[in-house]
Amino acid sequence: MVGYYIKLAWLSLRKTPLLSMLMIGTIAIGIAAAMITITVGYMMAQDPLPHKSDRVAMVHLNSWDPTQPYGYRRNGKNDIPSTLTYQDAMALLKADKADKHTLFAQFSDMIRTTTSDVRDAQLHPIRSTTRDFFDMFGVPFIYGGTWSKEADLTGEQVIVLSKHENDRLFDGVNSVGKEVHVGTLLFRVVGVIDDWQPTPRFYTHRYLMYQSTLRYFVPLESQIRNALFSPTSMGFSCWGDDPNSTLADLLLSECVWLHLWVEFDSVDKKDDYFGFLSDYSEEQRKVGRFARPEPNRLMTVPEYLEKEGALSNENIMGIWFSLAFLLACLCNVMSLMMTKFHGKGGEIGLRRAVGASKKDIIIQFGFESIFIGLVGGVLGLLFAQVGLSVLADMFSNLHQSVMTMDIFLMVGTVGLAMSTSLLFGLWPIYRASQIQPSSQLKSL
Amino acid sequence: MLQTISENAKGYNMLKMRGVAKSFVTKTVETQALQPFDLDISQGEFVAIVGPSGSGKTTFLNIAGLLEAHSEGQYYLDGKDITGLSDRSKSSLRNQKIGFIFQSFNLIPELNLFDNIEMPLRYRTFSRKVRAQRVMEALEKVGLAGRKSHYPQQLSGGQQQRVAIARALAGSPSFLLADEPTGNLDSKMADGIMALLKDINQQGTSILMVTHDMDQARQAGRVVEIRDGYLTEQQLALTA
Ligand SMILES: Nc1ncnc2c1ncn2[C@@H]1O[C@H](COP(=O)(O)OP(=O)(O)OP(=O)(O)O)[C@@H](O)[C@H]1O
Ligand SMILES: [Mg+2]
Repeated sequence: MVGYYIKLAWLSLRKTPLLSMLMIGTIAIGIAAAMITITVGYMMAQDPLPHKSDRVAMVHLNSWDPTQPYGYRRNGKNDIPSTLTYQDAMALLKADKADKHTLFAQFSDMIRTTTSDVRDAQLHPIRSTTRDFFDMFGVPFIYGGTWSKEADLTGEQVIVLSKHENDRLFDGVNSVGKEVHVGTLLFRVVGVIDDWQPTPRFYTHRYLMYQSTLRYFVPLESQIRNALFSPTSMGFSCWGDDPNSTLADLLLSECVWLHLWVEFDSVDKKDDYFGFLSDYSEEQRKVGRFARPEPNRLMTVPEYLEKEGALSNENIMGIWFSLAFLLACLCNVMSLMMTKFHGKGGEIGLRRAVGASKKDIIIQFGFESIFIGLVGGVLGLLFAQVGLSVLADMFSNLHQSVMTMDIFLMVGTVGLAMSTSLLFGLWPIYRASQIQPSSQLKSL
Repeated sequence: MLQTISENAKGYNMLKMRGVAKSFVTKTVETQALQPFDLDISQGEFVAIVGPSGSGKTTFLNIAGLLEAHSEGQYYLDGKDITGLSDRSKSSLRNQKIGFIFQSFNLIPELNLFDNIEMPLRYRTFSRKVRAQRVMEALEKVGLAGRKSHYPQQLSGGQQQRVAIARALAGSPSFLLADEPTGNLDSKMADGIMALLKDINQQGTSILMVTHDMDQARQAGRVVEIRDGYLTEQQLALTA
């Protein structure tokens, strides 16, 4: 019987091609608009570190200017910095109270291979960090691996490349052991990572969260020992009047610029660590620092994303607007269905006369509505893909992955189209089933 | 006023109406389309319904065929009181006991002949094989066996009405209801349809047929006239 109803739905669509195209097109456009905004919102709101996002936390210390707050949160309360001074970062690292620590900053420099000409060097942002970065954030390697503990301590000149850069510089071969120039210095390749793009890039500032990951990684200590300083790309915030025109100045200053993330084997260790942070700021208060009242923070990945507003209000508004648009489209589809089913009065009367019950009529037109939804949904999926790729081109600073549907969203799109089409078909279907068998038999 | 029509029993009593009447109530007026009447129709009868336009013939046929509810009285179809039956039971009675033939054929244009004739069978629990067998038998009866894949618009009016008859026959109903089945056909085609209906009647199916053609009425065994909603039995001379 299902086959029969699908056949009838298909014949019915073919019978009134213009009306069918209008219905299908309207659903497709509404669904596409909704799914584009939902995709962007949904992909932005993904848990970027599944299985351990509640065990990985970011350290925020309130080392800021006693005379005025660092800034204001969205709820109007005073904010504290989400990055640390060099002296605090180093103190926490040395105390070694968490199971893993990742400290990072960034700078930029000219990069080229040893065999290429100086003029071929390209300016790149470089992640200066510690060896656990890759493990903590789940970065996959194709060749080699992270650097040694030694390298972190002694500032060894070693470097990890992205697959993209390894392809560009070394034609994709295993480049471990080869060397690249970072400015005038030589760095030895120890690892090449595979394509890696957490969505969102949770470990950094909000305005960088949907941008591509950096392509070079070196030990933080190597940046410091070589005094690699690029003020415009390092992103530090300062208060007071400490000098900050060289890296050495920066290290001694109250400027904040280092991200510190810690990982715990179990969630309960988090409270102990927070206690340790409180003790630390208490001690610092004794020597005249940490004079502000706002407490320190130890934020897990979801907490930090929420604080940074990873899924912005504009996104949520966009989703609401597109759903309202979808609703308008569906209302149109409903009126088209009304017209369509009205034109089938003769057939309905005939079917009722030869023995179809109201229920049979409801099922027949239910199938037709779902069928329209299915075709509209598939077309809408296509439109949404086109829309997303146009968006991806327009906002090329945002990473591609935000603009890509996963299988769940694809199935969801078609499912949404089918179910809403049925839902908004219910009234027309009900009306069709109420047609009196006797009233329509004079014409067909 | 209650009219009684003499019982013309020749077999099992298929249709029994007692005091049946129909009025249409709209916002402004109430139309008494059929005055109360009694009527019995036996198995195998061929009854012609005649009368002027607007007198209530179609209304009567719709009530007999369960397409419309009567407003008063009792109606027993095949011994079963149909008053107050659910939509479902009425649909299934229509499906199994009654075959309809309309003036305008009422075939579904996007379905071929086979699918058109099969349609009533789809609302029963027949297997695909049984359905196909019944459709082919019905097509043979109306002489269109070779045309099952044609579409209605590829046929003449007379042929289309034959398809409609085949559709009505496929479910092997107890009786056929025909509302001016030859109204849209020329006289030659009409004669063919009439001959076919008589043939079907000979094989035992009761027929109720509305017609304006006195000739056709005479060919039926029994004539009921409706005038301004009043039913009367007519005694027609069997020769013109
Ligand atoms: N649904 C309805 N609502 C109101 N009045 C109706 C309805 N159907 C029929 N009537 C009225 O009932 C009366 C009988 O109509 P009916 O269609 O039975 O006539 P008929 O004898 O079949 O006429 P014709 O020979 O023209 O087909 C008419 O006065 C008609 O206006
Ligand atoms: Mg009529």
